[in-house]
Amino acid sequence: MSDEAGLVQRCRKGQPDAIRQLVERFQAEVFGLCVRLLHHRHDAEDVTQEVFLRVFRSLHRWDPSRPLKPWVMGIAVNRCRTWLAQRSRRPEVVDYLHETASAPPADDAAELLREIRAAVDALRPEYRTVFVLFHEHGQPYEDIAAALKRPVGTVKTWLHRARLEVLDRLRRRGMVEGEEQDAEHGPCETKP
Amino acid sequence: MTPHCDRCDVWLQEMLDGNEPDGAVLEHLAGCPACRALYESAVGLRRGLALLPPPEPPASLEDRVVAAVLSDRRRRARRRHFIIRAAALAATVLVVILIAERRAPVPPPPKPVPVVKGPEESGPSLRQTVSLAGSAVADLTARRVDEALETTRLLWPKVEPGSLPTMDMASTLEPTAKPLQTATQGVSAGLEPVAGRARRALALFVRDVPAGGLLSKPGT
Repeated sequence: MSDEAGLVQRCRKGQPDAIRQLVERFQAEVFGLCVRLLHHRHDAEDVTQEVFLRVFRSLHRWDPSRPLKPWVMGIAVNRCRTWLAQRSRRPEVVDYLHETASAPPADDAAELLREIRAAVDALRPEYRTVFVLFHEHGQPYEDIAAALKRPVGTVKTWLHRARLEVLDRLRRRGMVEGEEQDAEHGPCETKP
Repeated sequence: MTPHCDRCDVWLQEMLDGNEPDGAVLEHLAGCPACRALYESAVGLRRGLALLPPPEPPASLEDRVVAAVLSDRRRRARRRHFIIRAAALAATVLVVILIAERRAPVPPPPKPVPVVKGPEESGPSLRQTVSLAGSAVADLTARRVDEALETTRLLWPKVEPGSLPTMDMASTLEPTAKPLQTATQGVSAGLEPVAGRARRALALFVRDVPAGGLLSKPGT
């Protein structure tokens, strides 16, 4: 029996130390994803709690032959989607606190990070999800596809478009090289 | 969207996936300013993503989550136990009701009423016939009584009080017992031939009646 399977089995028996261990293992990933997808730390905390409630209620459905992390992240993505859908029906509440904390740019890197965050936040939800899962959580295509219940090809397409949109924004903001060269020299084989 | 080469799409994805461009790509980049600009912007993005710090969860989040999970488990366990107890109670009540129903005396089923084909189809019933006959006899009797009374009323005023013969009632009357005995014997003697004929007729009737009785159908 794998380490994860043993941990899950102990969690299903209701052992508090096992429950704490599983929360410790995934809470940073889940919380990070929730913050990125929801743009709101307080909402992210609430949704993280909901995600773990769902995880522990559904542990009997987890397939021990598959890794646990994509399964947990899939639940997190679904909860964020539901939360966003519910929030879209309520008045918009934007949490600026976590952005203003790093508002004064210490150097170019900090400004670049802030622009990347802003560019990612401006993406469509499905593009943002695959971008965050791949670039911030290091999830492979297959795991993202499993978490989103989409084909790998779809995930690759979404990620490709997300990258192009982020790059385009960064170049227009002058955060990365290339805008002037593009204006001066046309592409060798262009496409729109 | 910034224009770029068709081939850029492929190597850009590979590069952002973490792979370094091969020699052919580098050679192309040297001669294509647009692709080189895209490449440099992708390098900047990759550098920025590597620096991007993951959002740190608050220190209290883990305790809150664990407490919520344990509380949820307790609540669900209580609900599960409640459902099990309720189901057990319902099953017990059902069993008790079934046992009580089995032990209760069962009332005898009502006796089937024999369906006799009524004589309505063939004619009036015996009761109706007797009733009609009784009515007819009563009418006839009443009519005869009325006629006799009327005749008596007509004759009564014609009888003179002195026209009736005088009788010595005290000398002619005999003791009561003797004439009554004589009358009884006389009646018996008078009815003897009639009674004998009636007995003979009844014997003949009984002899002719079939063994099953009068109500049994022929052939049953």
